[in-house]
Amino acid sequence: MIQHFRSPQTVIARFVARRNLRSATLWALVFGGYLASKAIGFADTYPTLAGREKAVALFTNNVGIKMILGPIRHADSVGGYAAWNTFGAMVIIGSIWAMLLATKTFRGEEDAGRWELLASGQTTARRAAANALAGLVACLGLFYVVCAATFSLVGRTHSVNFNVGAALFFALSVVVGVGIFMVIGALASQILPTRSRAASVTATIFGVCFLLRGIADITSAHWLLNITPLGWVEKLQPLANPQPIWLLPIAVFILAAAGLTIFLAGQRDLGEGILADKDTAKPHIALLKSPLLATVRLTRANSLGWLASIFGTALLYGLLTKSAAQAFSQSASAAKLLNRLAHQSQLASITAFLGVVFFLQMFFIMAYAASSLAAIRRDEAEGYLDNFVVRPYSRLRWLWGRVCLSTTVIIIAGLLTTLGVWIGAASQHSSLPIHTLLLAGVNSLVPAVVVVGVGLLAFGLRPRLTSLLAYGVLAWSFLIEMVSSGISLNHWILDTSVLNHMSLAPAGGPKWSTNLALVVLAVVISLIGAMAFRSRDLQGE
Amino acid sequence: MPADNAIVVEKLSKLYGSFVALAPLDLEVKKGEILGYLGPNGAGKTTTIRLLLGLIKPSSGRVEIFGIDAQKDKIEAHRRLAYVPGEATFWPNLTGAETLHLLAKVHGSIDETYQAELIKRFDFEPSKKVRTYSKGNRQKINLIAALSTRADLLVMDEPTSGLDPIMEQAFRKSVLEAKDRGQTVFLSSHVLEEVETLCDRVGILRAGQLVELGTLAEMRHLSALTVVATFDGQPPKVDHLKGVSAVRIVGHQLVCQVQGSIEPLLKVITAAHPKTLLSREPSLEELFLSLYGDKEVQS
Repeated sequence: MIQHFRSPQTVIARFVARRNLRSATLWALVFGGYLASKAIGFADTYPTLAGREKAVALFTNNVGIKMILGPIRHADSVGGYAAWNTFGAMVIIGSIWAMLLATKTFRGEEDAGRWELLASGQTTARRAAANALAGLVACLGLFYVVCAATFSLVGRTHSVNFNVGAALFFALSVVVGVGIFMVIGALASQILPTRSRAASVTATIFGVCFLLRGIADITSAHWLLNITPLGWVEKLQPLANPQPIWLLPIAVFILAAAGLTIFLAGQRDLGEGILADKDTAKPHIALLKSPLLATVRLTRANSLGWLASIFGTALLYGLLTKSAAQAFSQSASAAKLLNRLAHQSQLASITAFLGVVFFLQMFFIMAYAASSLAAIRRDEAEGYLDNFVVRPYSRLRWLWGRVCLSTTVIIIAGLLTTLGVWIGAASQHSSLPIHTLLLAGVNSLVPAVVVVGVGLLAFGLRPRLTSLLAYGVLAWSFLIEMVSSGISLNHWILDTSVLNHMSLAPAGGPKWSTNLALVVLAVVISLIGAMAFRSRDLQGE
Repeated sequence: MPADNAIVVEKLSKLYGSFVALAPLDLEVKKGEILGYLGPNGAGKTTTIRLLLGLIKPSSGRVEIFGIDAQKDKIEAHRRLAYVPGEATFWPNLTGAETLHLLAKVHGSIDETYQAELIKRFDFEPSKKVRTYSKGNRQKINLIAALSTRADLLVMDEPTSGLDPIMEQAFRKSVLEAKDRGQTVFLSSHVLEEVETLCDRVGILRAGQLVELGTLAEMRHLSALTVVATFDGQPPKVDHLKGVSAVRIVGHQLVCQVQGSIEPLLKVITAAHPKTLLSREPSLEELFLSLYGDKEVQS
């Protein structure tokens, strides 16, 4: 007897939604927590209007902060300040998530050959693309609901006090910002033939949009805001001076990009992009003498991308040192942060600012470490590793090669952070001695080494949890640091964040004994993981 | 281990919890022999091969490859073998030539002249990127990479998966060349004709247990003789005779199988004055189906 299922035409949409609802919920909760920490923290730190006005005045003309977060509007209210402080970061993080999600859904699945199975159902290429977009929209819908609910809860807090309508508009502003880069990712996946290229192009577009928005904010070329999607998002001004009219160009852009995505899906062959790629090439075998060198070749673009981002960010921070440090030295919030992380609230402004810069760079370097562990696991799960270990090449040799490669990139990332900050700050005549920054750079590597250790332990004992645990260390530490910057947490909870054990070098001297203990711990758990990997079964997805 | 054995498997088993993927297996493969390894999906063929290669660890037992413990000294064991999986994941942005180069470097040695010959024989276009290859072309990479090593032992798991009939002939030629050079082949396959043509001995696996092992001649006792007779008129009734089964009457033609003595059947047929009479031994496919019975055939 043939069983007929309900709505087979929408199966792809439901499949895509089901696979991504969890991450949508998680990010929405993180954003809710972030807003809560900033809003409640600001209200607690500056309980009086006079205090708030003074705090806001510190940032009003600060070029560096304007470049990163945009200009302050109505930041004397708790809601306005919290929106200014969190909106930009939420849109940036959310957009990165959305870009990765879209390129994975549209191009990653196709690269892996799984899309073919879905597309061979009761559908056409265009309908399948529309389905996938619908699935992603469903994720964004849930993302909106959770954001709106948590933002409303934050707004109902006595000290914060903004209404539900404002919270809903704020959540909508975040969601449309994220949605823009979701459709750009989907569109790039139709145009380019591989996921990595689609992701690179989407990331480049994001970078250009961010730069245009930053230039518009710090120069007199404010008109630039009108031609960049991030400018439209900024002009929404949630919780400050809401301008819903700017939803119009955003909606037009999203609908046009989505429509083009669906149209182009029907214009190309499965497995190809609208822009054809070279199908043949002369052999280049210089980096194909061993699995390790092959990995260097296959991952060099990704590694260089990470390193360039880390260096670029460090350079940008360095360039902002002088202006940002001035505001930083007078900020009660910064003093609170320094007190918690460096146990000192009175520090030279430049030293304090650079301490926070290196602290922020730790997240980047940890993110690279987590991604490299996820790549190691992916090579096993997808069968690439089999090609080596069925030949006279040991698992441990392969694993240590990969770990050494990741560690090398981590060390280079630390050095580039040092170099970037030093060059940037020195150009503003506000740098610290290079050896002080170098120690801070070394200090910033330790959390990434811990991520590698935890990832390797999981890889050996529970390989399917590798990505979850490696990224989990990063996400948990991020969450704890974010929440604790506004709300007092129990020290047992604080201690679960690896970043809580780190010194805010150069604001405080590196805690070498703690660093050594963390590195030894990471090495020991790495060895346990490696030994377990040596003797366990290879496991697929 | 006797010096003339390429593979010795002793009480090798693999359990996943309470599920028996491979019941304790004893098996010897002689040097220079081609052993066919058959069984339906999930019978334990790939599990056996992954145990031979040390990709998974056994629940009990051991494997020796040319006297080397394949679990304890995988590197030395792998130096003597080459593996052809049914499907492999290659790096989509490398070309076929680059992939072959990398795999050769990892193995440590190849016969470059023979590799060039194999590329020609399999009509393989090495300058294309892997992501543009069809499944059959990706399988050619596996075959060329393994065969060109001239390894003492070739372990093959569904090696002709995705190949067209012409390439299957090229594959058979290559395997017979390997045998002529004294190489040993462990061939897991679903293509029974391929196994029948190439293999010296056949092992048949059922639900994780090796149920038969021997030459085709030795195994033919397992199944019935097929008899086909045509008549001028209606064929006689034979389904009541002892040992006769699978009786089919199509027009004036009778097809049936007989196990044991053929004499009673012959008496009935000759009494009905057949126009033609043909009998043949069971094919490997018939042997295989007889082992798995109606239930699994239907499934």
